[in-house]
Amino acid sequence: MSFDRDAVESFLFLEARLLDGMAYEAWLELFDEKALYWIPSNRDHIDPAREVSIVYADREQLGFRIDQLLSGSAWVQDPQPRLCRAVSNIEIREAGDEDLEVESVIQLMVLRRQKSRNLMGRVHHRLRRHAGGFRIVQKKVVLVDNDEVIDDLTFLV
Amino acid sequence: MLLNRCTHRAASVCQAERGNARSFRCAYHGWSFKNTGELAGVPYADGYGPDFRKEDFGLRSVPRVDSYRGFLFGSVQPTGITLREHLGAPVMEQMDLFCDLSPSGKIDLSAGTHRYGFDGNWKLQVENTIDGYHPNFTHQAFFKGVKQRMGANMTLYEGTSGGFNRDLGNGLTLLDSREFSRTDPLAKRRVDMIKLMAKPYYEALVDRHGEAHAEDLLRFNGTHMNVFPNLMLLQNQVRVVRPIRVDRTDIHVQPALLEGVPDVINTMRLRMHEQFYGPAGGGNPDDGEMFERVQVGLRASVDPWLFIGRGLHRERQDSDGTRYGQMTDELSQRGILHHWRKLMLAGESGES
Repeated sequence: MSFDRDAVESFLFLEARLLDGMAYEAWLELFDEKALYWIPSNRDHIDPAREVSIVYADREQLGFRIDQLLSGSAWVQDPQPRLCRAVSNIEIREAGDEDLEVESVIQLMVLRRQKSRNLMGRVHHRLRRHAGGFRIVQKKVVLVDNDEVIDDLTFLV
Repeated sequence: MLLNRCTHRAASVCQAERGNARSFRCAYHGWSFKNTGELAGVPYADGYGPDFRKEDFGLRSVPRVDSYRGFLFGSVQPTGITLREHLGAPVMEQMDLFCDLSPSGKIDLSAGTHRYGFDGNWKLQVENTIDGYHPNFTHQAFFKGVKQRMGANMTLYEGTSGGFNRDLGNGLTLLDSREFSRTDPLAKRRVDMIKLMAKPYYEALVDRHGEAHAEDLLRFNGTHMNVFPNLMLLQNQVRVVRPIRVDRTDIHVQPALLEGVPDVINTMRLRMHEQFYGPAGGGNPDDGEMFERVQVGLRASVDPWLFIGRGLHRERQDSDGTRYGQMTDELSQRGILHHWRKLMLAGESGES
């Protein structure tokens, strides 16, 4: 089955726009019910069953994080950081009948109280075709600085 | 415990954070050392005179090293109180509770490290770790979420909590929820789940410690303690606070795996840890935010003092001579800062 590159790119750009705007409820809707969201810690490839991750969350746990972010008392969001990310180097592969494996690079600038940080990493999406569009079945973010000190990543990437 | 510093021109001789090596060779001028620290060789040795003795140039060692339950402690002072004198029996008992959650009595720190930090003084994190007053406010969103999902109230940090705040001397401080956990429905639920999910684990603990203590170990779920100055053991993690500058602190947190338990238990411990801790955790980034707000506030010259007098009127003395108060009291902050001040005033000749 062939894929429409424009449609995949548009989906990633929509996701980036939602995250930049901290529209977390709409962002969560992009995920499949059985989705996995994963940011490994320390190394790019780890065994999550016996090694710690920065985030290793199913959709329910992502919902828990989002409730907290939107609660008004996630103090590290007060004031909110300003976020802007570029998505590039997009490579797409078929994965079975329904899914696509999409690898991309993100570059994210975070600005808060005059301090700016730059985060960069490779993102591995597994997308499933759904109602004419896509749903995220798995998202793994391999940060360049996953073995370095990171003060705050609660805004999610 | 060797210093990673060439005795020639001070370059680091080992660049790896973990691993094994038989020897270390300084890349700068080629001096090489055995893994015992002994100087093995220097290039073009004839360039040093007849008085040069290789035994004078081994890698320097921390003057005093001691350990308890596998935790290595080093002191940069050649003399002073011993590790056991510094810790004292109540702290060693808490370290036992932490390690004995494993049926073999051994914890495993190979699960990786969360590294995060904040622009503030290191003592802010040390004081906060055993601050039983802040959780219901700093972490209110997290606890509200837990309450909604678990359908149960977390009452440990309420003003009427049955938990205690203890100053064990030498700056060592403890949030003591042992009595509280014995009747806490959330602790009971967690222990029941472990018995259901991992019966062999529970049985191994009973075999080793007897039923009553096995039940206690699981109910207490580790400890919540500061080992002055910068080691913390709380719940399932080992935390080391690293002062970088007067207004910058890094924190390294390692979740402890338990040796000899079914994988499902360790995986559950990791997932619980990630929810609250680490750069994206639901808890500690909010703590870091508070520390940065405090650090800014500390610049004020009009009134530079802080008020940590909570519970001063109700401090009590326990049978072992240590002081304790109610969970939300600031007794532990006072204990840490009194000891820190004593050491700072003692200067070079002080105990360490």
